[in-house]
Amino acid sequence: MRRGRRLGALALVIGLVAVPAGAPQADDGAPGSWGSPFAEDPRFAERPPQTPEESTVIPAAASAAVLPDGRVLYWNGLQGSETGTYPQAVDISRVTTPSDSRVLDLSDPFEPEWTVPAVPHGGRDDMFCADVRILSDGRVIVVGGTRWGYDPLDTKESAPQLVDAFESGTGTPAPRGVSEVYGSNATRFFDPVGNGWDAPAASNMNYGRWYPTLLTLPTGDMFVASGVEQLITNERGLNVHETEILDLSTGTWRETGPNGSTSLPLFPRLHLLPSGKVFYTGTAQMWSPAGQAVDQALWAVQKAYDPLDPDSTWQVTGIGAFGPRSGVFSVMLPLTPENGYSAARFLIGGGTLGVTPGSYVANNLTEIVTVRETDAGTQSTSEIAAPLNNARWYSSGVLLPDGSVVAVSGGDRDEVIMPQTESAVRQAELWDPATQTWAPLASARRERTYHNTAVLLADGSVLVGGHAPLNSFYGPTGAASPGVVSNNLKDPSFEILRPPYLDRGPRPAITGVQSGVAWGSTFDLGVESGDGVGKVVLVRLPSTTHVTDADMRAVELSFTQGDGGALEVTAPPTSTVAPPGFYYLFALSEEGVPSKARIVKVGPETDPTPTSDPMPGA
Amino acid sequence: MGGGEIRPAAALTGAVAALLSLVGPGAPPASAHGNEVPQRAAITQAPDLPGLEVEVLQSIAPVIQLTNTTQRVVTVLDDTGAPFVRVARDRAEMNRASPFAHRSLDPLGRGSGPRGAGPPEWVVVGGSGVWRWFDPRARLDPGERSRGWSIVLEVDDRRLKVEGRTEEVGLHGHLTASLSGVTPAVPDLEVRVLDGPVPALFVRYPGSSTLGFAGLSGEPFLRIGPDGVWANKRSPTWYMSGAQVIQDVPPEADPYADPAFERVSPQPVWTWLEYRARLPEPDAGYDLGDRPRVVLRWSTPGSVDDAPLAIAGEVRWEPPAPGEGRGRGPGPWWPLGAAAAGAALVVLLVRRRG
Repeated sequence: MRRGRRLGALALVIGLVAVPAGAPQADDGAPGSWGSPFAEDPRFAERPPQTPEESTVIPAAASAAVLPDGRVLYWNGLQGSETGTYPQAVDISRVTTPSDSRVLDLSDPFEPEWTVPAVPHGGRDDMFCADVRILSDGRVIVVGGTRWGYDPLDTKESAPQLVDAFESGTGTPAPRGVSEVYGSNATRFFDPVGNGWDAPAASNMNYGRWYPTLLTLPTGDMFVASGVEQLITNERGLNVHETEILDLSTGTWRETGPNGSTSLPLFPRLHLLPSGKVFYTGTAQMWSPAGQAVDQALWAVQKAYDPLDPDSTWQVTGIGAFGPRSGVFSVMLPLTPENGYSAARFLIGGGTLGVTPGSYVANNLTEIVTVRETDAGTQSTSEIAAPLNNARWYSSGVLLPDGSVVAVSGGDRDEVIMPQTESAVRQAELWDPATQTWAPLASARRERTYHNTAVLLADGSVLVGGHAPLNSFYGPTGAASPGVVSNNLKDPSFEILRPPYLDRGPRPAITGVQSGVAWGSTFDLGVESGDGVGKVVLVRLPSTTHVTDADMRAVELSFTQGDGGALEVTAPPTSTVAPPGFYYLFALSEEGVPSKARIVKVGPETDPTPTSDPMPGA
Repeated sequence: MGGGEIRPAAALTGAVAALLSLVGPGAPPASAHGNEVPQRAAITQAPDLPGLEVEVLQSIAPVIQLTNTTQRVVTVLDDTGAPFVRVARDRAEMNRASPFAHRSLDPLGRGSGPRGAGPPEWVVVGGSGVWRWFDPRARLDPGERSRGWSIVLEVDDRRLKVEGRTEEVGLHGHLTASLSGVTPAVPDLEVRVLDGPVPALFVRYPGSSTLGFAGLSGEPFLRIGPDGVWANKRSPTWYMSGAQVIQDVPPEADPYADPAFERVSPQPVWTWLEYRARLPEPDAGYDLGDRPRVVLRWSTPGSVDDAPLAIAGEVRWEPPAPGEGRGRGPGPWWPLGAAAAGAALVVLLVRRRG
């Protein structure tokens, strides 16, 4: 019995869908197929919410993470913002409430189940605009986010949560009179076993961070950079330059000091290089406090830093082919044993050019950034690659186990600059690593522009959700001109994209593998595959928000045919190649068809406990 | 902080103060390359009461900040003469019954409060003697180029007047910094100009010579060569250049002292804020006009081995295209207002139906 079903006393299973999620739909003739939309509330499987009231019934997946048991944790963004009386620019702080979360069980994708966590959201402050990763101990960590500055004329009657928080000193900073969005310094943990959130004060960061980026270090400790403490009337005129490291053993943050400080834009696209350094790709959400940051010209350059080396400083490594880019996806391509896992490559696509609001029209540009370690240090070069078929701002890019990348959702212009004006890009696209070109895939049913999410599932499909736009930011509340521009209410539904690689031939099946894989070890992998096995690949469990997943990585493993029929697989050599934590383990046929994955823990120790299929119904 | 002086919010840290010491006071937090603050408010006459300060903060819309360290209560009156906020040394109170009070919390001046004024209902809204508000009187209406305004304060039985003026910021086109050339040409040298309120230079040089660049006072600032990048830690420019972050210039920095070079990178690539290519501020006295033109030519002096080297560039003014709206907003949040969004929607509808 799965954990979500066992915890009925603690949590409420509140709905089943009317339409099977996995039922393939007729599409527009392009490769790939989409399952029917499905939602916790069956109404929204049939259609998106049509009124502000409907839009607030259940959360949309503005942030999402796959838990070590395969379930999907997600939560809302801008929750309640569509219910105000006045334009959101006026009312947003008053009406927005802390984002509620859900746990979605897709072990049988034809019968998805939702669980409301025992503690439904992340404690004080709003998890909206926080970053999320999966810790090496299996918990989910969420840092930063939003402290809504509220209208100080609100009373306990009109806004009890906000006023209580203010009076208790735990919530919004003392009002100073003007509308404001503050960065939260909270660190929240979601325990998949207890299905609840906790936000211990001892784990508060040293800085409030709205739009930070969080990633896992080779030690399993967590690194956080950027974010802004105060968005509107920012007295620094700068984002947070200081970086911090969470010591997982104590649950406390320490600053890296002056060497670790640097100027970065919001949600900087950071990745961990196989050298153990943190790499900034020169892309992000290129906003800045109060309009612009004094030093924002420096955001164009790529740079690297080793947080675990106290003598390290941020070093400029290169610059992107198109300069700074905003609202892009930045995907680290698979690390491979052929070159000793030494070369890292990144696929960057879409977004807008320049520092926002330098442009707000989406582009279809693609570049590939290659990072190498040399005797002289880290160097990066950027090459222009074949463009996307659609200009797409804020698309989610998802790395598949065969090394291809799918791009889904997004809009044709930057909604943050001009809310309500964007049109959704429903067509998915697939980047082929062999041809290095994008091919159009079938189109999704739903429009998902701002705050969309997409995560790889254990069966090799992609769960696509979210859509929490700046509803009518400057205009009347409600959906403005439906059918003309994108849906301006939230969409709490999901769809599942079945990439074409699932239809290339017979699917291998993993028959057995251990739960824990130690770095540098070898382990047995039982596989049934009529077409042989072409690749064995680890893919880090996804955790994403704001089209950013700093931990996203795939590590191809070398293997040989063992004596007993199982494959003998060589684990990643080091914690810099595969930071400790939970990964999908896929076996792919010679044709590139992936098995369903098992979820294994990579770290210092081997665990012989057998794994089970996280999606037996798929 | 004295009343009557524009104090940009961005200027309140020591680091940025160092920047302002170069470029002068009054620099807004936004740049002038197309997303400038479209209007600028300043106090022309501040109340003469020791312990009472009234300032304008440059934000999305003009913000009035009142700081009261006196033992008296300062009451601010709205445009009808009714009180809407009062500030004591240790608290701020607002009149919930005042429509103006609600409007003062909103950069768009709308607010969500009562429609008609009633008897004052004072509620404590802050625990200090500082209060800020968006004052609609200090904000230009669409199409308006400038206005004078006044705010009346009551202290005991005395009335004090704050007077100010708001001007439309003159820049509505685009100012762009670009590279003109490098003299003499240096093989393998890559130079890019990075746009921003203060533009930056990106230099990558895998060649065999050593390049030197001068700081803002002509002092040795940076060396880039086969053994990486070396910085003169006595150059004030180094601390302002944003190498890691913009820093306060320490007392030991002296452009006239013997240089003290330290290696800051093992490889020959670097970037720095180049204040010489800084874009003109709206109030810097430039008459940019209605035609495209170069408004600034800049040069970064340096050397290649022992020979002179110069990176030269320009800042070009591109006025708004015919029909382009005036006064683009300052940033991504609340930048454009209902009118702009509505106009864009109309354009979109026309385009789709056309």
